[in-house]
Amino acid sequence: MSTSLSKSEAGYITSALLASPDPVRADGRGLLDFRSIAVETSVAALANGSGRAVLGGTGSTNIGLGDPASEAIVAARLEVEDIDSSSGVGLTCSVTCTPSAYPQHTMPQLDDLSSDLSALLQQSLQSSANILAPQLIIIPKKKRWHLNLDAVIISDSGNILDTLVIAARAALWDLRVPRTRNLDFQRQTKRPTTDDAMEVDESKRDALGSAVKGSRVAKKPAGDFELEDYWDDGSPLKERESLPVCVTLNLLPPVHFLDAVTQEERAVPTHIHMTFSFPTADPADSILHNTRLVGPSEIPYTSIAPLIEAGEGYARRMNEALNIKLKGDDRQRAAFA
Amino acid sequence: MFSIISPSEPRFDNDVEGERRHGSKQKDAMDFDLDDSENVTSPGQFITSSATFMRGHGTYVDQEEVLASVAGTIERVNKLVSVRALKSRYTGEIGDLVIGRITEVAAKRWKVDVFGRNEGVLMLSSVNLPGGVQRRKLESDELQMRTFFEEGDLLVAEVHQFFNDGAISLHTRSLRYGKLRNGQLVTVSPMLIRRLKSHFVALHCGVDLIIGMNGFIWVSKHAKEFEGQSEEGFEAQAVYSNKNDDIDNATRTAISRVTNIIRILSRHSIPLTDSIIAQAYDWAMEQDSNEVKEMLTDDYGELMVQALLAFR
Repeated sequence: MSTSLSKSEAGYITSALLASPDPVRADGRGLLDFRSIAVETSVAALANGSGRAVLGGTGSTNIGLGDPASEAIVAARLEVEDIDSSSGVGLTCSVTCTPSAYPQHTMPQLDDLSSDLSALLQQSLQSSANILAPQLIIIPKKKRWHLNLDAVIISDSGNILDTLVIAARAALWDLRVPRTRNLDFQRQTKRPTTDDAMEVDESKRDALGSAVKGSRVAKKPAGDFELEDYWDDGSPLKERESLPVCVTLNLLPPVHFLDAVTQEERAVPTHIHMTFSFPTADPADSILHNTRLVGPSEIPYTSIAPLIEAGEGYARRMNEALNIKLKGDDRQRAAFA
Repeated sequence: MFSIISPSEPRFDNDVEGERRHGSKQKDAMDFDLDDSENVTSPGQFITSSATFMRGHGTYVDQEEVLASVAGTIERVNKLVSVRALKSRYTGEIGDLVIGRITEVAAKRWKVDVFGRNEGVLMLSSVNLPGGVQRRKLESDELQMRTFFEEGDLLVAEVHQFFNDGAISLHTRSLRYGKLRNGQLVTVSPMLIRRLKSHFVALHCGVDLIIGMNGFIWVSKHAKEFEGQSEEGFEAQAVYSNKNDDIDNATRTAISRVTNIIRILSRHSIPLTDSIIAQAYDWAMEQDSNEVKEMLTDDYGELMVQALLAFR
């Protein structure tokens, strides 16, 4: 089905949004109402952490006509990488758009869209991933976990970036970082029988040197950490309550609205994405990681500050709601186990 | 502002397993169309022997057996057995009322997306042109085709005929047909649309419905009756206008409510007729909370459907 919009439909949508006193949107929502958000974690067995988010519909995977929903699954995967001073934080986001989500797109268009969304998701999460970085270090200055976030868009009926970030947040909430034990090269020191002068300060020797020497045997072969317990999932991230959330404000001056569906996105193409995180419950304490204005029209500089302020309010409430839901799920899971 | 839930599991009917027939179970060749419940196939299901029957759409032959290749209902015309899929695109039939969206303006024709297997085509010669009287289409008309319909426009039309390549030819040669304004579109599966006496429905809440056989439903503000408008009174300005009338909030709310009702019914696979939509609307108005956004929850939909089924 094509997603274009006729002029009269666009006119109907915009005049409804601008109607005062209380605007009614196509499905009866007010300007600031989100569709229902369905979230679950641990949906991919082989990932270190995974999450699924569905906006709208009834939270089921029924992608029928007339029951529009935006659905995304994100799987987080950890891979060991060497810490290289040149590279930034170890985060790679890749988004795959399924043809069933965009039946009107050709394959090259899908690829373009996928790379666009990958870049958008990467930018939205990059700065907040910096906060996680210390927790992902295995051996300081040597090795760390590289975080790969692989997202699949199952269906798209608007506001897909918010959906992706909610799913990514659920995946990060679910993420278990394997517990590792660092290995030092301890040598079995054969006490030299002949000469005391042969004794060297062993701590200053490097592992390779000693291995080559042969006279002194390292306890373990070359390798610098090991998993404490192969069968253990690992420990969750600390401060999960402060994982990022993204809100998209669709701008139709003088109003803005949240969670646009596809038709509304067509009629009102200008929107601003904002990613926030809230380290503490203190209302004054919030971090704005990223803003991005998308769309054909400009907005005056003076109106940005109020928008960010408004966005912070929405993001805080979404943050609280998601934390309550995800904590509740954790408790339920613990009760079952 | 934010309601966060757990995703619900997809529903499965428990009866499906019981109804599934094994391919090994041979039946009397003439006996395969029994009562309705038996007529729903699952892919790979044995239908009949290929010795006595011909296979049609939605079936295939394996080891002299006709098997269903889709989930659907069995249809039989003499010796031809076919399965009509439960979920498919719209297959046009001449005389059907459809709603389509212009995708392309081509030479002397518009390409129309009608959610069909084949594309729809609206010929320049099949539309009413300004001036009213039937006349030959001139070159000047051809040059200003975009002033009538342009890409993205929604229109209501009737299936006129089929071209040799299967394309659906439409026509809008009636004052009831033409460009759609003052409302919004809802799409449901074409399988849920029942053939009605009239597909132009005026609900008593001041909302008009145009129910396209292709599953597109236009929900709009009530338009005044055609007061015996003659062909001479035909105004291109009015018919091909892109401007909406002024619509008050009450009407918008009613339009949103009807839209949500159609979505709920479609989610529960209930065939749509004017009467069930009107019933559902009345039921919705009787509820304690008249907020339209309340209708988006799953529970509300369940309640509504139960109430409607009990009423029948």
